[in-house]
Amino acid sequence: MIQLKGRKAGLLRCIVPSDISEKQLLDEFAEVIEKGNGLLQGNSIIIDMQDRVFTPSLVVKIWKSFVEPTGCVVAGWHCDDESSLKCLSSLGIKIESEEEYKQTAPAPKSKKSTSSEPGVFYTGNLRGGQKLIHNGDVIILGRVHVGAEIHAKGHIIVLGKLSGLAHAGCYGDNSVSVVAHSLESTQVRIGTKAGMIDKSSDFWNKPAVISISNDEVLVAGWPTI
Amino acid sequence: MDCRIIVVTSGKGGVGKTTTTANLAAALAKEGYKVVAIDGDVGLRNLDVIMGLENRIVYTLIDVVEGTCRLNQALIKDKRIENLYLIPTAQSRTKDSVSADQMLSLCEELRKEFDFVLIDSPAGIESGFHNSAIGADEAIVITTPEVSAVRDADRIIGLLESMEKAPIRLVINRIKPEMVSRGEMLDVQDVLDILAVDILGIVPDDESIVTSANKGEPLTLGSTSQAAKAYSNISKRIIGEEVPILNLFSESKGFFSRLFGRKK
Repeated sequence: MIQLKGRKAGLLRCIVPSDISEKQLLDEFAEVIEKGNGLLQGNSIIIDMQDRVFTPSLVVKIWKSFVEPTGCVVAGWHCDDESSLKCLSSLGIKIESEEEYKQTAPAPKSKKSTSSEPGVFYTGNLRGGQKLIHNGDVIILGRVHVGAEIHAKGHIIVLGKLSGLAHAGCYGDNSVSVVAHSLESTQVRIGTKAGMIDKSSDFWNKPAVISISNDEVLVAGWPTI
Repeated sequence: MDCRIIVVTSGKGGVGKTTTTANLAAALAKEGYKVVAIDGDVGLRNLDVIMGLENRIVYTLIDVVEGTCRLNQALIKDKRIENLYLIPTAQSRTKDSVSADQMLSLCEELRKEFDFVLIDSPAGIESGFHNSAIGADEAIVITTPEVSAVRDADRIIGLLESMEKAPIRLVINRIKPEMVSRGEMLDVQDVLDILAVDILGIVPDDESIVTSANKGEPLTLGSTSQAAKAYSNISKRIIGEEVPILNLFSESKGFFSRLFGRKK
C-alpha cells in the first residue's frame, strides 16, 4: 500500500508500491486523499515510484488524481527503474538526485525497533521479480517462485512451495523463523544470518522449519503434533 | 463475435514469439476469422519477414500512431489468405517512439474491425513489452523447456497478472522428446509445475520452422509437419475447440523402436 513518510528535510515522501496494478494504485491514491488530505495541502512531497515500470500516462493520472486534488507541491520524483527514469526525463520532470534521496529517504529502522504491523495473510503465488515487504509476520497461502522475495520483520510462513528468497526478521531479529510446506529454496535468511541449503538435503522438497540456534541457521522437519 | 486482442510475449528473447504470432494469425484466418497481426518490436522488426510480407511495407505502426497515415494505409493484406492482415513496425525507430496511450487507441480502433488482433511483443519487461500488452485482453506466453526461459516466463506472467490480463496461457516451444526422455530437458509437467498457468499447446522442435521463416511462409499455410499441426491445434483451442495436446513422446518411441528393431 501507499505509504506517506517523512518529514526529513521538510519533505513528505509518498512511497508507491510497485507490485500492484495501475487500477489498484489509483484506488489507493483516492484512499490516501480521503484520509490525509489535510496533511498534504500545500506541503512539499517526493513521489517515490520505487522499481515500478511506468509510462507518461500513469504520471499524468497520478497528477490528476492525487497531486491536483490535494494541492501538494511535488518537489521531485524518484524511481529505480531505468526505463521509467527515461520516461520522467522525457517529460521534463524533476528527478530526485542521489544526494537528495539520502537526505529525504526514511532512515532504516534500528535493529531493536519494537513497532510492528499486524501480520499479513497473502493468498496467491508470488512470481519471479515480485517482492513482498512487511513490517510484521507474513503468511503466504500459495507458492513463492524462484526470483520472488519476502522480507518480513517477523516470521514467514509459506503454506506452499518456497522456491524464492525468504528473509524473516529482516531488521535484525534472529529469534524468528521461516516455515515452508515444501522447502525448495537454496538460501533462507533470518535476521543477520543466511543459511544455504543443498538440493541433496533431507529437507529438500519437504515441510521444514528454519530457525537460528547457537548462532547457526538450522533446518528441521515440521513437529509431529 | 467480439474482438479478442491477444499479446504474444515471453520475457526471454528467441523462444518463438514471432513465429508463433505469424502461424497463429495465419491459422485463425484460415478458420475464417478476420485477423490482424501487429509487430510490437519497434526497431527490431521481424514479423514482416516471417510472414513473407516485407516487400510490401509502405507505412508502419509508427506512421499510424504519429498520424502520418491512416490506419488502413498501414494494413498489409496477405494475398495468400483471405482476411489476414499485418501492421508492421519501423526498423529505424526505437521503443519509445510509441506510447501506451497510442497503443491503447490503436487497439480500440482495430477492435471495431477485426475478430482477432495478435500483438507480437518484444523481449524484455520494459516499455516495449508494456506497450504491447497494454491494449490486450488476454495473453499467450511462449517459453522453451529451459530453466532460463521458464524463469523469464514466470516474471512476465507476474507482470501480466498485475496488468489484469486474462486468460494467460502457455505455449511450450521447441520440445525435443528424445532429450526429455533422457532427463536432459524439462518436460511439459515440470514447466507447468513451475509456472502454474494453463497450457495452450506444445510445439516440437522442427526444422520446418527454420525453412518456413526463411521463406516467409507460415507453416499453417499448408505444411503438414508436426510443428504445423501443433500450431493449427493451438489456433483451434484459441477459438474454443477441444483438441488433445499432441503426444510427441509415443511418436518418438515409435521412431526409436523402428530404428533399433524393438517391439512396440
